[in-house]
Amino acid sequence: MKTTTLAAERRAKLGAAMNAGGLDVVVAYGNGWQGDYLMYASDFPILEGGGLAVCTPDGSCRLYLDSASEIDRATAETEGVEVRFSRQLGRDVVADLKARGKVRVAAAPLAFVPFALVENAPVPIADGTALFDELLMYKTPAEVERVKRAAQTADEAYVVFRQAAQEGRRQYEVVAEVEGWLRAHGVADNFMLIGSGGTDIRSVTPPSNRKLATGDLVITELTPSIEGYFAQICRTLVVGKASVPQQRAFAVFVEALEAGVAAVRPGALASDVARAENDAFRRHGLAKFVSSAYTRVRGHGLGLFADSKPHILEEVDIELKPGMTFVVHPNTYHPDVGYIMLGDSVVVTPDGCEVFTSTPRVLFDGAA
Amino acid sequence: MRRGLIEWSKTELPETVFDARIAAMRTAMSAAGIDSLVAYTNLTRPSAVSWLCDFIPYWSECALVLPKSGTSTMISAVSPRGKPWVESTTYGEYLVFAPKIAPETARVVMSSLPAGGTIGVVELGEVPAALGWALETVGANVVDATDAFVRARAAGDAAAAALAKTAAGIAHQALAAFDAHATAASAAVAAVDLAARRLGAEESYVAVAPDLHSDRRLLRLEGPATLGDAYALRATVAYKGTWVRMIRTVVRNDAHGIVRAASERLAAAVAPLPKLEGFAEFAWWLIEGARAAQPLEALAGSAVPNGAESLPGALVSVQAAIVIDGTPVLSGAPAFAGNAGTAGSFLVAAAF
Repeated sequence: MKTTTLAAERRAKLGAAMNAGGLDVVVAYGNGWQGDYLMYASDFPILEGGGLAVCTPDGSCRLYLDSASEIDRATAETEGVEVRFSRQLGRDVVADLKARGKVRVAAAPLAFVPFALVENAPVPIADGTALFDELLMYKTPAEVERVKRAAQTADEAYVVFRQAAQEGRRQYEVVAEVEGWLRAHGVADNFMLIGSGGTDIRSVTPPSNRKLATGDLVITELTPSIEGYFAQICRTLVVGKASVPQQRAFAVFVEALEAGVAAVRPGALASDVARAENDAFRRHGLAKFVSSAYTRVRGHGLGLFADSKPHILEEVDIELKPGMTFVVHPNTYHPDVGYIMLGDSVVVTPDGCEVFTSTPRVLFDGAA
Repeated sequence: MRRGLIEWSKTELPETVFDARIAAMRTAMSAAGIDSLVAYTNLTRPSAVSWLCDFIPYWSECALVLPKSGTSTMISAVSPRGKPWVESTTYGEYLVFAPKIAPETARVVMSSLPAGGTIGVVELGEVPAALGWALETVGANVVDATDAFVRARAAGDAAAAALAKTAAGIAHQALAAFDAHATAASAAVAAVDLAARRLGAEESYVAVAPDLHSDRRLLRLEGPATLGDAYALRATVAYKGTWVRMIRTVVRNDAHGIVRAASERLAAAVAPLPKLEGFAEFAWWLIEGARAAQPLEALAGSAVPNGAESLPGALVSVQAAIVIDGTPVLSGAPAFAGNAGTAGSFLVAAAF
């Protein structure tokens, strides 16, 4: 299997963390929405249903899945993992834990594991979320390399997006073209949202039936994965020729992104990056548009999940360290023209940061 | 993570459909002594909530609270900026946005629960621990409402049947879109995925068994693979909350028509559904359908312990493997189980 070495590396790191934390067993939960904890423990990129991986420090892993169609895939796509079908994940893992006797157990993310597991567990279950979050945030060179390749794929896929985003096309048809291109290039997964219009658009959503029209801002965040690792690009284009107000508004976002990226270095805090981005808007009298009423985060972690920790916000004081990968994106609403997206994937390096995505930071339009 | 077309079509799912479903749910709640129903939804467990109010989350999680009388409430962890989108895809009057839905769901339940009342939770054991803990704080009797939900849904309706036929049609057209002479698996997978999404699929998963002679397992393709002399693609398509699977096997130089023969044998096995006796001759088989929150829950199969007969008339997706003349062949298509003297049958013949 292509990920055997990486999977073994992850499992060894998990085992070491368990030993350091005095744990005999960890239970990792995942589903098709958020599968990073499960993937880290089992090397299985879950797509349908839910799964619980029961792991010990010596690297053994038993994977319970409640989608029967996922069983074949899990047996073929993982190595050294015992795969079992389970109609009721919580009930079956309770039985598994009972058979192990008096063991010290942690589960992650504890709030999301099936209720039946925590209600009926034969031993207390500690919250193992922080243990996993450390492993997920600070990546090895092999993990960073996957994120970098995913970012390169994102750049290429955005070219497809630009070509597809023509007047008269419906949003879902544009997304279909990107997905088709990704599958043709062997890319298994992608997360993307889209929006089109003007000042009526306040956020991105799944694609709708709406047709692209001349003058529309077309926004997207495009997030392909390579071997389970996601990277993201955010860009905005205009159908037809960009107007002067659109260009003027976009310039603020370029300034904010450049400021955010410049703030990325070891020892800085996630809040420093967010503040650098937000200060650009404040300088232009747009302070209220960096509040939660208009935007969610100023970036977020990237890795085995498309929206992981750290969240880049002024109230998040997680220290940046080499090996952290995230997207810096000052996306928000601009009152003159509507929602604008602009973001690049980066990695923290020993002496600063490397920007992985290379698509020009311009407002693409028919003349670009 | 969903990136297909999610929209509420009031032509295909008029409000009267949801009124009837909610009435059926309340009848089942009453019979089970449930005063307030809680149904949880996320990307992989969307079917109970979408059946009651259409809503399907593209991301994050939500919960629907349906009291035995009065108005339902959706509690959503989607950003409040997504309100117009949530409203446009949800049948219901009240929407509450909360980053942590568990305590807010408990508060909403408590606000309408009579003293000594009972809370019923669809698939109680499988909901997130945080939601279970929060509902326990209400101080009411908390019971599993899965059986009540399954009873309410069992009768089916014309709207659901029509959506199933549309989903099956998309899967069939998508699988017809690839060039059977292709050798690159990625080209075939891409053609199916692109076609399904262009046809308005809410979700499309394409799996491939590139060389059936060496491995019949259907995988999600990552990187390059070469298609062998016998290979299969499976399209899993969601259309407005309805999920189906269909398989197309290609045997190059199929002079003896073994692919057609396999399809005919699967059709013969489907005819007695919901009885399962017809599947004995298959090396591997699986029947899936939406019973509660999972859109394609394993109902029965050769590797499914404690399998149960599907419900009469229910929409199911059937997959099976059989070896004919030394060649493994995969077949699969959505079907309606038999009902009231009518034999089980495929919605669309998996012929290409």
